[in-house]
Amino acid sequence: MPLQLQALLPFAAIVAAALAVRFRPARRTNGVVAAAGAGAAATIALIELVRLAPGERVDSSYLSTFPYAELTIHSDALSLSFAVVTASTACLLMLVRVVSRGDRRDPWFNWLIATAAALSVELAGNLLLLYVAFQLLTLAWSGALDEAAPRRRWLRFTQQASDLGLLFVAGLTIQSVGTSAYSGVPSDTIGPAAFLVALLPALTRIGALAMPLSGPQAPVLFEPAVAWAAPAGYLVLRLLSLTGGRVPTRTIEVALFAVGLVAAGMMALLAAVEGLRPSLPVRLVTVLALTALAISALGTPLSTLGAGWLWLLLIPLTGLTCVRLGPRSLARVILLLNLALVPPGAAFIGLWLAGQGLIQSTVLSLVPLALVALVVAAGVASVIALDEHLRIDLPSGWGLALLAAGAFPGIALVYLVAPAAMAVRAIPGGTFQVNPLGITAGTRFWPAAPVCLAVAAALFILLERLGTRLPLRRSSIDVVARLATIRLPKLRLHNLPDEVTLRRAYWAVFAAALAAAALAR
Amino acid sequence: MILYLPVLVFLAGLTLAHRRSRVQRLIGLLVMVAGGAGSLALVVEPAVAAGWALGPIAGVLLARPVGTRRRLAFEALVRRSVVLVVAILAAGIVASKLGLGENPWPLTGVVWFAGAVGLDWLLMPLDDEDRASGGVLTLAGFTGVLVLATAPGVLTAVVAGLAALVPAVVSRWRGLGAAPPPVRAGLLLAAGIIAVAGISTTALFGVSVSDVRLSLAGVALPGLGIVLLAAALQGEGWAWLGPVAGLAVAATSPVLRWAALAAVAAALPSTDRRGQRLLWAGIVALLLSPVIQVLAAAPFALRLSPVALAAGLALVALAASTGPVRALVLPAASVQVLQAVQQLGQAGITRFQLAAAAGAILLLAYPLMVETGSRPVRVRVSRAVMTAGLLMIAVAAHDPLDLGSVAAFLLLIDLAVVAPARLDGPLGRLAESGWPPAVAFSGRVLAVAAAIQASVALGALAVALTAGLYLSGILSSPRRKAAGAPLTVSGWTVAVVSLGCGLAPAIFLRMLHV
Repeated sequence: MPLQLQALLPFAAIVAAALAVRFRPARRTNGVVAAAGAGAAATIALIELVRLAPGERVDSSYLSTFPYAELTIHSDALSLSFAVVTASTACLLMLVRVVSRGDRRDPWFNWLIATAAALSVELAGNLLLLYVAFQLLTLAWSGALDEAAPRRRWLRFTQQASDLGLLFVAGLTIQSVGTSAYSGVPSDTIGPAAFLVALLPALTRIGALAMPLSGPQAPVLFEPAVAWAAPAGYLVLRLLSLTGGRVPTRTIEVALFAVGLVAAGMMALLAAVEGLRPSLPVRLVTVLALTALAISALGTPLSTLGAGWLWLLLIPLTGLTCVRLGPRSLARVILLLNLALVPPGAAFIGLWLAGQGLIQSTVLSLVPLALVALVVAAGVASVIALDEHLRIDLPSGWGLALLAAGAFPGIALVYLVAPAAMAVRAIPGGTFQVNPLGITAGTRFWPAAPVCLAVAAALFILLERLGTRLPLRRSSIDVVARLATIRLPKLRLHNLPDEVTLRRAYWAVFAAALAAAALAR
Repeated sequence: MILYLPVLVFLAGLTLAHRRSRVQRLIGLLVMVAGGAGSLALVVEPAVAAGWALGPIAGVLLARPVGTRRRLAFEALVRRSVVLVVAILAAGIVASKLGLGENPWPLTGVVWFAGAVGLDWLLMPLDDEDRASGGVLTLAGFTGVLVLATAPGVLTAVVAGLAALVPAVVSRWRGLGAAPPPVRAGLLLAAGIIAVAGISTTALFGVSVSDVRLSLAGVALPGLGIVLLAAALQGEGWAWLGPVAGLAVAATSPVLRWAALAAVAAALPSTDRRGQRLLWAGIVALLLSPVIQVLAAAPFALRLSPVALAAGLALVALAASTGPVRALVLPAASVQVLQAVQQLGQAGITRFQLAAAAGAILLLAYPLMVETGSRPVRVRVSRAVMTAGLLMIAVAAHDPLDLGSVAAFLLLIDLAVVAPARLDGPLGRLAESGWPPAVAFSGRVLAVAAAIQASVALGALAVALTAGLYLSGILSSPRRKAAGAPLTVSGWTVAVVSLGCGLAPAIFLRMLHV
């Protein structure tokens, strides 16, 4: 099959499902059709990823609709890895929605379109197209064809405005090298300021993850995982791939690492003192995203691997937090375990890999990373509890699969994370090895399977023996409520000049500017 | 002594026309035109002067005063007289600074005086007769200035003079009523043919009749298509003015281009006094640019001409936030400025960019000054003004990739064709929104990209304007659910044009033969 046709297949699967649910509205099978569409897209992307040679990338160009930005699908390991995980998460969310009750709306078409838009972000072939895809994604998740639609309009505006940073950088690359195509941009094209400006879309989406102060109101929320977490992670890694695998300057590297970890630490602290609230998983997901951002700034091969692991893991974990879990669902416990940055949580693998990179360069940097992990672990330990009548459901299976990925990281590491990391930067041979028991990075071995199984077993016994909860629990401090009582002083506008004066000043400034333009040398 | 005769004749005519009624006023107006023609005959050529005078004379006769003039109170009379004197003095100063060769400035100043007096009557009319004769005199006077500066052929002078007829005709027959469907369909068809021809052929075509030449080279081709399309989709009966606005784009002579633009502006109804003043300030600034280029000393010409261009476009854009001015005058003025910018040298372009940035900041700050009307109206006006600011930046970009021209055309389509329409249904809403693939979105994206090609500061300004547009989008009032009304033919046309141009803006590069 021609490569150009192959590249379209994931979209074709989703669009076919979208058309099917559009023309047969309110059918009970629509959810299954939608999930099948997303699942098919994930499978196709996975097949393409497996067939891709190491370091290979395929650009399939179709049309020159935008000047100097062809309509191109860029299939490299980074794009395809994110596409696989995003489409899989979308599929799982749809399946959970199919079996859940309490919401009679028919979201399948919108969800499929949002999935297609997220895939278009991940498969866009140049920066200008990436910006357009980001806009399409915002339109798809918000559904606000009418720009003034009141539903979450400020969030929409924030995302649209921050995406302009990406457009700005696309313009800069076109100005520098005549194209914004990934394959045509030399690694020194994007300077420090441009890099930071281009990061803005990712930062606002991470901020959006942190926004909800309660758990999901509907049985399943779609956008946090597919429309916010996935593009944010992808964008960070894509920008790194365009700058040669590391941030442009040492100053930015240090600043990004420090700011990311400080923000993660503060969020972890907030989560720990708030205790068991519906917002806890949301806070912990944000901690994970900020930690991934901080690790991304480190320029070593192992830290790139770690960042890739964390960003890819963030998508299904965010998806799991978007499911309204029943009080006795085992998934609640498993979700918290996964979000803890210590074993047996899957996120620990990313931290361990990044830590090995730090040991090779600056050991001192490990301290803040460890502190964040400790605070998160303490927060989780203070609220985790086992009910006697736990129910095993679909989200539990999802969470268990993620735990298993942490215990046996070899498959995910070899087939998803490492190819993605190699698309970001060169990973020398022998940087890591995997075996059924764990992974080796450099000279150190992490026995992931034994440790995870042992910790999980110990945790289970502890929870059983200590009256279903660990002794770290404490009364929560209502920090948010206290913050809410602080009143900012109101801005008073009594002393502003009147309208006539303003108007005169307005024209005087314009005339002065024109005179300056005329007189300028 | 004979050199001062035209100015004396003009002043005598002015004295007669200023306060007298009916036949005496008509005679006064004709004498004023005769004074201008005399000046041109002495400076340029008698045949050119005679040709130029045909239009204004016909215009004066067509808009002949028939009623008795209202008697004014002392204060009002003094105020009007003072304003008139100040206008004439200002015109005299400009004429003295922009003299032509060895000619004494009172001789060349007659046409400047005519323009100034006409402008005064047009913008501060005592009655409808004042406005009508003011329109004729403004066009006559300022086209006379251009004839003086560029010394065109006889036919060009005749056609330029005939532009003075347009407002008189419109005033006489009250806008000629709504254009019948065949006229609008014809304009639509012409726009379609232009688009197809632009995409499919690389052979540029032009028409010459004697010394009048129409050319569709470069930006004129898509510009003409947009102007005709906007005219065809005008629901307010101004489609008749489409061909005149087209002349403003396609003519190669600066005299004809400006005369046609001013004729359209004078023929359109005045929405509000402030808007009218801004519009004419802008049009006069656009007139000054070619005049300065020819008549001013070299260093001043190089400095002032680009600034006048930018200031003119900014003022027209401010005035064109609503109504048919936005549909007909703004596209024609923008294309004229695009054409003029392409002929500037590097220093001129830099100066134009500085002035355009000032204009864009002016337009960005304008929403703070909008205090009239309800919130939706204010938001709509702000949105149009900020889009016009982005248009200025796109025009100023003048980048080697020609993204600026493409962005300018897309934004013009948004302003002149899409924004005036109110479309229902999902397709219509998408077409008039700022989301991809609407034309507004593509225009904004390419304007930012083009501005960055020029300078990072201009790019940052474009980003700020785009963010302002997003903000105005969420601050506007939510649309009510569609009542199920299907899209009309016009609605479908607008939707198809918006989505088509938004999906594939690269077709404009093909039309520009880049």
